[in-house]
Amino acid sequence: MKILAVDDDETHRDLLALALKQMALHDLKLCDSGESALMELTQEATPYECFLLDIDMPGMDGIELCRRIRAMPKYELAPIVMLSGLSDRVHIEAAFDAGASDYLTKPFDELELSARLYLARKHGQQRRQFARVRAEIEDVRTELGKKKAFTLATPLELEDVAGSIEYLALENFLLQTSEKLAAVDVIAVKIVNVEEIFQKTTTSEFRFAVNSVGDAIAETLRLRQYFMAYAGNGQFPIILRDGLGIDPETFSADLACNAEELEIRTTRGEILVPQLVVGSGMRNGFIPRKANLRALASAIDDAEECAARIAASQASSGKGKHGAIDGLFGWLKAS
Amino acid sequence: MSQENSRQFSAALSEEFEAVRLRYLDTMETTIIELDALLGAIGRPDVQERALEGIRFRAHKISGTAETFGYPRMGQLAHQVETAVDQRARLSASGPTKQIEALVETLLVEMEQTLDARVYAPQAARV
Repeated sequence: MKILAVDDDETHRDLLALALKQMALHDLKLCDSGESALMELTQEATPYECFLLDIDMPGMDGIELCRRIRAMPKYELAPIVMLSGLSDRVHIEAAFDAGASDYLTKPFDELELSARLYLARKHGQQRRQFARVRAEIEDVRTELGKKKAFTLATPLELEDVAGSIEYLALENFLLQTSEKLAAVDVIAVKIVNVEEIFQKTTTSEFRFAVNSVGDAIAETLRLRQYFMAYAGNGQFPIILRDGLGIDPETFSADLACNAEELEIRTTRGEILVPQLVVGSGMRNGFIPRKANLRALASAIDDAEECAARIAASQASSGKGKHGAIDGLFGWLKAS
Repeated sequence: MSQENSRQFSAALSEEFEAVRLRYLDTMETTIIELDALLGAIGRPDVQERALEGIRFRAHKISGTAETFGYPRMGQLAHQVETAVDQRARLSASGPTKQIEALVETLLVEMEQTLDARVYAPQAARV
């Protein structure tokens, strides 16, 4: 794996080189500033496969460097791991906002570094593979018709949706949210009729549907600080990081207003309306890091249960079949 | 890699780590002098903010590496200095600096004692 590591501290560069050597990762280039790293990126012959960026550097800091690397088309999908001695929430959030894939706090042990690099490599390979498939599918989209470049369960990147990050980055953010940090609220929105939409739409139509729901959620949360992602299966997990809490009922009602005119016209002329349901939400904070991921899973499960109840109720009443929408926007209590 | 090659590789890495540690201790002498000068500058209103920023920057670097070489107390003290400077900046840029000065002095004592001892710390295991 070809790695570019950027750190202004000579000792830390030496230690990184040593640690990577121990992991038999020898294809490493070290830079001592953001500016020299950008220069290197304009000159290198073969692209880098992973970036390790220190955050707190004089001149261009690691967050700005991350933003600039991410803006380069060839590094749109590259894993970027941020390194910093700061366990400050602001830096963690800013790093993920700038497009970071993961975050490590110094000093870190070799095992942790090794595990994160393994994940970064695996993630990078998957993203490149997915991008290749997506490009191929786009090329023959008309012929392929409704065939998808992904399955129903595939997490998708939301495009130009405020507050959206990749699902993996969302998980990494929660893992980095230590007990020292303020509480976060985790809630999930589910498209109840996602299977029907998936079956009846083309790749780009399904993407449009997912993005439209993302936009409606973003509009509902426009005054809040949050991250959201599309986790696949019609699920949008959301992390509210301003500590203000959330009332699922109010959120659900506001979301219903913002999604009122949401509809997807298929190439066959059918109109599909996504039915949204909001789970009851989980408040988290001051607890071990891994519990945050359990909260995320619980929030998703909760929204899933609510959606199943709605689907069952529609099936018994004969509503909601074949895209006939009854306008149900429900927040169902988890009980 | 054969067992013998593996042993040689590990030995080479240990040597390299020791070389990095010695370079680190060399730069620590310079850092002590710089921190001492910055501590003296805190009392001068015209350069106080720059002095505090210089102290925070050096403390940040120490907190990220000291534990790696087996100096966890030095790392913790440096982290306290960094946090204290950050807190002052958040609360009031013209606030008192007494606590910061005391913390820097404690850190300097710890660094000087480390240099005096110059004993290899076998617990160094973090990167």
